[in-house]
Formats: sequence, C-alpha cells, structure tokens
Amino acid sequence: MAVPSEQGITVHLDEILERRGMTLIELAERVDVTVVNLSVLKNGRARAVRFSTLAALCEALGCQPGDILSYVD
Amino acid sequence: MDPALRSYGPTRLLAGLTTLMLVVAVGSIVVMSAFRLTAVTLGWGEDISVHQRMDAEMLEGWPTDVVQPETVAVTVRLRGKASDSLLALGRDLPVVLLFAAGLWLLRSVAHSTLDGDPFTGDNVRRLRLLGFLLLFGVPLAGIVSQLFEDALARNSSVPGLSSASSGWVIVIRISAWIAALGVFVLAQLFAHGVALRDDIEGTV
Repeated sequence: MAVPSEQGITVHLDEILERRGMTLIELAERVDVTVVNLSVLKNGRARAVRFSTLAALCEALGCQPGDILSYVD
Repeated sequence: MDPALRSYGPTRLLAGLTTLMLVVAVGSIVVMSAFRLTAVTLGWGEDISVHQRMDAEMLEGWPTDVVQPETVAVTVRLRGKASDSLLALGRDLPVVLLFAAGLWLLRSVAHSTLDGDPFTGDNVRRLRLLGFLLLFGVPLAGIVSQLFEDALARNSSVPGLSSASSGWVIVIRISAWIAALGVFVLAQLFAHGVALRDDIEGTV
C-alpha cells in the first residue's frame, strides 16, 4: 500500500505498475531514471519531482499526473 | 558545461601545493623549536636577528632627491644568551603557527573537493574559522611577535636604536582583514551551495 510522504503526497506507482504488468526496472529503463530514484519516489521518500520525470512517467504508464500522485491533508 | 571546469587537475594541484606548504610550515616549527629549546637547555648563545629602527640622521650621504625618513628599519645581529633564544622563539612561532593552521584548513577544503563533495557544513565552518584566523589571529600574532621583538631589542647593545614597532603592523592587519572579508564571502557561497545541494537531494 502506498505510503504518503511527510508532505502528505501519496505516490501510486505500485498500483499502476501492477495494473500495467510492468516492473520497476522496466519502467526505469523507459523513463531514463535510475531504479534507486524510482524506488525513492515509490516509497514516498522523494522531496521533489521534476516535471520532466513526471511527464516521462505519464507517457510510459499512459496516465495522468493525478493518477500517480494524490494529496492527503 | 565547459569540460575544463569538471577537471580535477587544478584541484589536485592546489591540494598538493597546500599539503607541501603545510609540511614546510610544520617542519619549520619543529626545527625552529627544537633548535631554540636545545640552545636554551644547553645554555648556547646564538646570533639572533633583531629588527629595530635607527634615526635616519645617523646615516650620511643621502642622495639629493631622496626624501629622508625620520627612521630607517635595520636588522641588528644580537649575540644572544640562552634566554634570548626563548624570546626569539616566542617572536617567530606565532606567525608560523597561524600560517600552518590556515594551510591545514585550506588543505582540508581542497581534499574534500577531491573526495567529490566540497559543499558540506564542515567546509563552511572551516572557511569561517579561516576568516576569523585572518581577522583576529593575524593582528594578535603580530602583536605577540612584536612584544617578543621589543624584548629582544632591549637586549641589543647598539646605541641609538629604537623598537621596530611601526605602521607595518597596521598594514598587515588591513590586508588580513580584506582577505578575511573575501574568505567570509566564500564561506557564505559555500553555505548557499550546501543549501542548494540539500534542495536537490531527494529530487527525482
């Protein structure tokens, strides 16, 4: 289950990857981001996401930013 | 980005130079201290150079267009007693110790760059310490050295000479303070670099 970051942002990468039948390693190759950094993002430990990374994720996963990120107060 | 800016060559050179100068400074401290303490212990006398000032009227034959000063700086050879060797050590040691301390800090900053990460809190602290060494340490070392120099001058047997205390001490302080300002600015740049690096860390 996705864990919200300390800023309250939840990253739903796990759920989307499961729906698409894709592994984190495959996604990392497609978006040109290291597995380590994607893991940091997936586990809610990232402090910021570049627009370029977000756009690449949306293109690779065929989704919108709001599908990947959500905010809980 | 200009590839030359990524080269570690200049950093290696600077790290090597600061290390070399530090070794020379520490070597000087060890040799100077050992020699003078041995002289004191064994009761040797030694020839000690003492900086004093002489009334310019004691000199004759000034060229016509030369503006004659009131006093001129001279170096007097003092055939010192063992206690004079201690005074000479007290005169010479503060500046060299300060120099070695500054080199140690600079070397540490240069080596952290070779290790791949110069923008650290440690380097900010080192640069600020270097700034304070320049701001307060240089004048203090100058004053301490001058006090020992004056004590040596009192043992000088040449009549008509006065202490070497003069405006040069003030000149050194001003240049040291300007250097301190530069180093404090550099420390703030590094602090900003640490903050920028901190912002980027954790950015995906």
